Amino acid sequence: MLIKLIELIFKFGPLVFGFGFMVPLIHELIVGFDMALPFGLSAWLVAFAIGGGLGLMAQVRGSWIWQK
Amino acid sequence: MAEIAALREAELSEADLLAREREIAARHMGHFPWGSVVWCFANLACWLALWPLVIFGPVPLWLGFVIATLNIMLCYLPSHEAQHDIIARPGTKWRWLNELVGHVSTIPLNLSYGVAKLTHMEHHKHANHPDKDPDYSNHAPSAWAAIWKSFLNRQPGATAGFNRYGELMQEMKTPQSERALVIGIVYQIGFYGFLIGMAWSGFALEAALLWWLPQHIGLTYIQFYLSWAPHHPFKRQGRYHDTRAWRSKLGNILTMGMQYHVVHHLYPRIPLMRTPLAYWEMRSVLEARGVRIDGL
Repeated sequence: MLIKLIELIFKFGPLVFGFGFMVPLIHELIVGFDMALPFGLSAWLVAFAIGGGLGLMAQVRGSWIWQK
Repeated sequence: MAEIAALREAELSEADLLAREREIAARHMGHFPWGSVVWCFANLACWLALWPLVIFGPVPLWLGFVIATLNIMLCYLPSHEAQHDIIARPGTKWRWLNELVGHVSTIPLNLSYGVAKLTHMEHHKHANHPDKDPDYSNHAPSAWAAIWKSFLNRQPGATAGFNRYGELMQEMKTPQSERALVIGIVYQIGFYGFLIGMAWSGFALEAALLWWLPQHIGLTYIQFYLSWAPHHPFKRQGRYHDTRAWRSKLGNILTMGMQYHVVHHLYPRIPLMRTPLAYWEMRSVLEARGVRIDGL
């Protein structure tokens, strides 16, 4: 059971990192630098969109950057 | 003067050259590397101390980031001394210290001792072999290409670099590799679990700038100076040809002693801090052997 869970976490590593680390990191950056967001978007929404989006892209493409 | 000495050495027989080389190496082996042991614990203590010092305010985050990056750049080599049993051989009184240094030194790099040691031994056995050398994937045509390759090799879908280390542990199928793999997985879970835990506790920037980003920069630096530079262009194999002596514009300290990497490959049990001296004593023998010497 534990092994299966660990395998699953590793398999979806980029998604876990994107939502688990990038999202709160981006949120802290937005709030810390007092960035003005368009259309009244909340900092959390933008953080989830960017961090989660990057994680999803890395999960699908196998790379966090444009080149593999 | 050096050329004359090399010619003299060239007139010696193979056996004489080997005997001379071994006699010089023997003088430098068996010395307790106090410097590396102090380096390990001082470096780790400094990095650990950064966390409360940054979080509670006395040290600004930007300064913590700079120091943490230096800590992580510096954390590999004491473990490397332990990997080669330089601090203490198996079964000796100080063996526990050898293993302790090996285990704790590379924690900031998120590299477990078992994985580091087993893959490094494979590197020594098969240096520059395209399939068998775990570090062969660091080869690149230029310095900038090597830095870029280091980043590419750690992408989730990459099959080289540290990603290759995990595969190698599974392929080896020995009790040591299986144990190393389990500990390696625990390291990964600990590292990412810590980053995520800190981030959701309101310390994402601290986690990013004291560990995550310094780990990437440090790993790039280590792969560049400990692997790419001394083995470039990764084309030849064999005892006297799989690495080189070279002169760096940054000097010996900033390249972490890797200008003398050829001595390490010939005699891995010579402590890091004695390789320059051993090199200069051995230089004419190495020249006679056809070792690649680039300006040193």
